[in-house]
Amino acid sequence: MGDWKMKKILSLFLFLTMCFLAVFVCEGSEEGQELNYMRRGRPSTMDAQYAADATSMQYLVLSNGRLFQYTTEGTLEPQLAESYEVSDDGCVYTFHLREGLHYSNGEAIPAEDFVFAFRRMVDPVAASPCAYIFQDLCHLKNVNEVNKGELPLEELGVSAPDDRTLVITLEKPCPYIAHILALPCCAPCSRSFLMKCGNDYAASPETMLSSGPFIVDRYEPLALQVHYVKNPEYIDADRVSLSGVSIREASNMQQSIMCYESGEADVIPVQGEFAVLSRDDPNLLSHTGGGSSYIVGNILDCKAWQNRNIRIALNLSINRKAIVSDLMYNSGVAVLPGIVPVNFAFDPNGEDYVKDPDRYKEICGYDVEKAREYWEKGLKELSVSSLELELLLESSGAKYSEVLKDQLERALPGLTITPRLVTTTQFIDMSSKKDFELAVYVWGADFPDPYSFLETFESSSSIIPAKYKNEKYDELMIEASLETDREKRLQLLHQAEDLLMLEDAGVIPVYSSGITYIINEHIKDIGSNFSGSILEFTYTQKESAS
Amino acid sequence: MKKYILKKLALSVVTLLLIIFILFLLMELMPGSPFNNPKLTPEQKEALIRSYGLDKPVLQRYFLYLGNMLKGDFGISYSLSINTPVLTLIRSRLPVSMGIGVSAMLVGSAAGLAIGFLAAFHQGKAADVICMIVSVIGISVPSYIFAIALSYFVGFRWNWLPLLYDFRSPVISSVMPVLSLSVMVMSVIARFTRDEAIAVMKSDYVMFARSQGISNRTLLFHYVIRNSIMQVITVMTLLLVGLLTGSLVTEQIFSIPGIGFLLSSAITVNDYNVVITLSFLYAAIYVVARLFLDILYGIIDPRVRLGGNER
Repeated sequence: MGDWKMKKILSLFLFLTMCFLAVFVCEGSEEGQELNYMRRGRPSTMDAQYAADATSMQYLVLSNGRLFQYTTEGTLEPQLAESYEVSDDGCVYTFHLREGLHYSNGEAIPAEDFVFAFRRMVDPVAASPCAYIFQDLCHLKNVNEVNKGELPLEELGVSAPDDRTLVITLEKPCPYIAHILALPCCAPCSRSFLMKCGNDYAASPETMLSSGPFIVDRYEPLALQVHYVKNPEYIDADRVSLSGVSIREASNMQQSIMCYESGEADVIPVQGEFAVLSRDDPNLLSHTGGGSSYIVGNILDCKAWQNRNIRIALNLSINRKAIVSDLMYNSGVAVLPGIVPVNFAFDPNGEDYVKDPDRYKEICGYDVEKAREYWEKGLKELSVSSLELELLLESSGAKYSEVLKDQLERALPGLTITPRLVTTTQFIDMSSKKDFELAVYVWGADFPDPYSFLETFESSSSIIPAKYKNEKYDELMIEASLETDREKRLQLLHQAEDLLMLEDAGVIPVYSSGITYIINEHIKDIGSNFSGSILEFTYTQKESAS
Repeated sequence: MKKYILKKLALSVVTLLLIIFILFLLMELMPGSPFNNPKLTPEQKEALIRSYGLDKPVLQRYFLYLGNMLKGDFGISYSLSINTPVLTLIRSRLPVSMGIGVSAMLVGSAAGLAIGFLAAFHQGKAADVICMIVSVIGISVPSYIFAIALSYFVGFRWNWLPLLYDFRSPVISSVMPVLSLSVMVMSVIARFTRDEAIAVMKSDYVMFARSQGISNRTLLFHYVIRNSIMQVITVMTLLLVGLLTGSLVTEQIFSIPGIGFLLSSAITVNDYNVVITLSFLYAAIYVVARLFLDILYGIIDPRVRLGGNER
């Protein structure tokens, strides 16, 4: 190889280095009024009418305008709706849309596009996971028949008499309907745009249409990072001050904290020991009460769980305070006093639904002596001297399972708990096949109403079937769902909860969970839903650091 | 030669078909289903299973999959990214994994070759010892340790480079992943290069050339590099395959949207089509790389091709 060849190689190397440096200098980040938000999880879909999980919903609220949106206080305010009326029986809602609503491509948003979106979700051919919202949470007229294909889509209880009026007809009153309509799946969907995109609909920014404050600018299916820019066609575009938002997935908490500390992220969720480390941070924002963790048994096959004394013994053996403080570091979690968490739902007078947190203390307080008395009685009734029970949990709950095992085995002589840790997929599969003895379940509420937790214990519920069965409970729940008087309705729900907790001791509540965020001090006015699981940045402002 | 290539090609196709079949069986044995949303009712789950044809027997699905695959249809994602074609998911990620893999290969190879030849030319001296200590550390310490160290010091402490991969600045944010992956490549190649170069330098023809007074530089470029590079290329090819198929841990540390990340996510939620297609892709890359090397050996060294019986 001659000298000239070496010179060529050196020149090439220098050229490549120069190119790299040029890219390095040119590749600036799009700062300014950009908000960077890091969180766990990726969107499973950007097609709003298929988004039934909180993660996808978080990514969709930015680009999907709904009838209602979340405020900074965790309440709701109209977004695309101007006003609405409710019929006396609480079953017919008439919404009047704001004037001048447009999609990001400049096309008008007629009320018919809301109707089309609702029909898409319950269309049996579409098999959208969002159908449950109108079947189980708010009972849209004819939803089951339409979803089974027994009635045409046109028979669904939603119609648009004119371009600015939307009528929603329910089978039962639904006092929390505004929370349902604030979900991104209830955003309008343009039929003509969807037809034009075909199978590629919502698979790339080019095949997405925005009706919300931001437009999806960069996205790939299953993206780790999604970027949004301000939507100039949005009805309140003048009030949107952020120029863009970047939401990206953090694979772990350390990564989030490092990104926050180095300024790459403005908003991050924190939990566990990390929340403890950040306890004194003035920028900490906590939401409590959106979810609950409880233990249930298989009422059909587990002999031990069929015995009330055993159920009470197990209930009284758990030191919930220790779990909340030592295992969960008090970060957004609290002892669960019944099936509905404290500070979660409120009556018409603004008082907490949980009026007395000690109401079920007799059953689910912490009292080892009493637990042993019930345990002995239960063992006698079962004619056994010891019991072995398998506890099904998701693999993320390894430490939790050890604590539960330790507390239960210490309190109850002769009890052996075998934790069975499985993946989420296996957990759902095994619980739906009733292949468990005891199972630890975590349930996140869809709306701030006791019904959201209590309905999962109806015998028809598909959420861990076989965990509880009581006809009287089912009747009370149906009665409550038909009651239009809000106070009477809450009384009925209290009666149902009393039945579940006091009479049957049908569940072992452990703790309620929430979400804590650290938010950069320069960020103001972030909206959120009642549990803090979905953040809204419509009116968020980012002040310059200087 | 044609017969040799055809034989190797046929063997590769059979291997790939077998791999897909085994993958199908393994997927069948995996507990759970791809429809993991707890809010889906049993009826809805059944309807989804029927609509995606997952109720059909495994053999029937295998042949259907093969038929569709020949048409370039690898199915859709059931749960990770609902109804998105698997190819769309891979198409957006493969270039990222490949870009970082190839860059790491280039940087690591260049450094490894330089270190290897330097060590060989100074065999037994301080430079050789230092180079080999560096290379032993590079081989024995997993690349994710370097990734974490770089991430902590360069990204977090000194704030010189972005902590995470960012599609708004892909080149800058790829520097740390590329560097952390290239350490292992550099170390392996340095060791191979050194050993091969020393073997070549001890050969009769190099000794003869040296005795003729040929300069060290000419000796290096005309004899040592040319004759030792073949073995190094073999190692480089296999290393490149490893890098192309993505480094899961490095992808997680830097939040890189690559295919390693995609596969691990798909396995946890039983997204059958994604798992099968990606596993097939990994296998195909390995099989093609082996095929390439076999053919290359066959061309370069006729003894390999003839196998001693076609003389």
